[in-house]
Amino acid sequence: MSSGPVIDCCVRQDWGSQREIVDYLPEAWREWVGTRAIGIEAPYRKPGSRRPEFNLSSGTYKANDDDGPSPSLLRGSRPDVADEVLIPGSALYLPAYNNPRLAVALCSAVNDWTIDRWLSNGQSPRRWGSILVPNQSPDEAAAEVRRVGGHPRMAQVLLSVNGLAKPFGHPAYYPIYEAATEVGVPVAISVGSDALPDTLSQTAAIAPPGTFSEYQVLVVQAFMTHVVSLIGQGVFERFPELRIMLVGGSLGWIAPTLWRSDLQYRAFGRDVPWMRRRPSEYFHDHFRVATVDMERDGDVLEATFEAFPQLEQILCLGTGSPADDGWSLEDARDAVPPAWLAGLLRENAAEFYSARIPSTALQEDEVG
Amino acid sequence: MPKTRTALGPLSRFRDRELSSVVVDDMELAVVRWSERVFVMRNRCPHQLGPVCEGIVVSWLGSRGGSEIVVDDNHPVVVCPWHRWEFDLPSGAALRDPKVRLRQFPAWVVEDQVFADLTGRPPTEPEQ
Repeated sequence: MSSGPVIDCCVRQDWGSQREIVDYLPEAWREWVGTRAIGIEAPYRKPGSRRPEFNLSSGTYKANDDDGPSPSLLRGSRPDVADEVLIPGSALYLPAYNNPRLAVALCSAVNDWTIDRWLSNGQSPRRWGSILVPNQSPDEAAAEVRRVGGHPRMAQVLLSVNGLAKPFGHPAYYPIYEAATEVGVPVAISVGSDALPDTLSQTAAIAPPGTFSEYQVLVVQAFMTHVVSLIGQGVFERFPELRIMLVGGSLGWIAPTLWRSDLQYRAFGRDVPWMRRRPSEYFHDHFRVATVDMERDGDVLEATFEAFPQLEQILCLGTGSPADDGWSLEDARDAVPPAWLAGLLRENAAEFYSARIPSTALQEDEVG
Repeated sequence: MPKTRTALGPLSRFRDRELSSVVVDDMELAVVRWSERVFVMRNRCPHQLGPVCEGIVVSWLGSRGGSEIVVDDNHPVVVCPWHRWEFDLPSGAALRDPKVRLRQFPAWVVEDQVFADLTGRPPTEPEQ
């Protein structure tokens, strides 16, 4: 069994009230928002999720006026976890606002809220934020990366939702990648944020899924599109230092997608002359995958690991804490081969976030 | 000049920047003329045995780094018609899988006649 401090690459953060975000808007935008609701509701919910008896047993950490998360949502201490990378909940959808100006303002407000309420409270474990960007306005998104990317506790840029209806390998997003590599942070893509019915993009081919169950099966299509696009459009030739963390979306789609991509690469070189390596090589060098939503069936996992043993260097623990349907530390320890544990629990993520997260364990005199 | 040589025909028979087919002792050969250079190979793609001479020969198109693409007119590439596999000339190596190679033969031009040594191992450069 692995020992040593753990990095959790997916800890959910959310607001207790949208007023928390509005308070971080500039005065004029606070006036503009007034009493309007700013949240965008996720279109797919688990059965019964609106029932009050489920509200306290799952969800996200919520900031409140006190330091740290709401005690009612704490799932017990996790003494092994030294570092938590925060992934927004409701805020994931804000970049999709049809009003692009408001989307810009809200992303900035969320980032300021994250810095002020989540990263500055001196608590242990160390928390690391994700920079939410209005990716439907790439130049403004890049400006936001440069504005807050220098904060030492901002660990990555988060590409959530897809307001341009273009896969993330499209040159439209290059300003964001340029800014991210300039400030020296990687990028994360979170599954699920492509699901909004009000945007041009869709989670699944053909049409939006009809039920939550269908959505859960098809949600990986968005990841497939983005990964194949990022690789196939030569983004990593243009930005060789760029790295991507995939948050959610299971593992089973990875090997078949890369097998087929490698096949096409061998045959159709003239079609993609800017690609100089096999797609699977780009994936190994530039992508990491958080374990949240990883398959539960042991036989399926074993087959997946056999089909794509490079996952040993790619998998990073992401529990989805405090959600009770995420991967606990103990579950994750039992799910992978023992030789993979050190990589899964810290080494792979430490290397990925090396520009921000120290490689050493939390020291007693560290604050904030 | 190698002792074993087979005449494949006058240079004028082979159109510049095109693939041509020649049969010698029941062996089908594909011949590429690239300006004043000639390349001779088996008319059989190592991928899935497609007829190479029914493909095309083009200038190398690729990248030397970054996202810009470049073309090298001095570097011919044969493209198989079946699956579009590309083969570098003169090495015969598949561009995207160098361990897969076209079977090539030494070829040269003497007094406007094209010759090939069909007995030897494929060279990396054709002999002139």
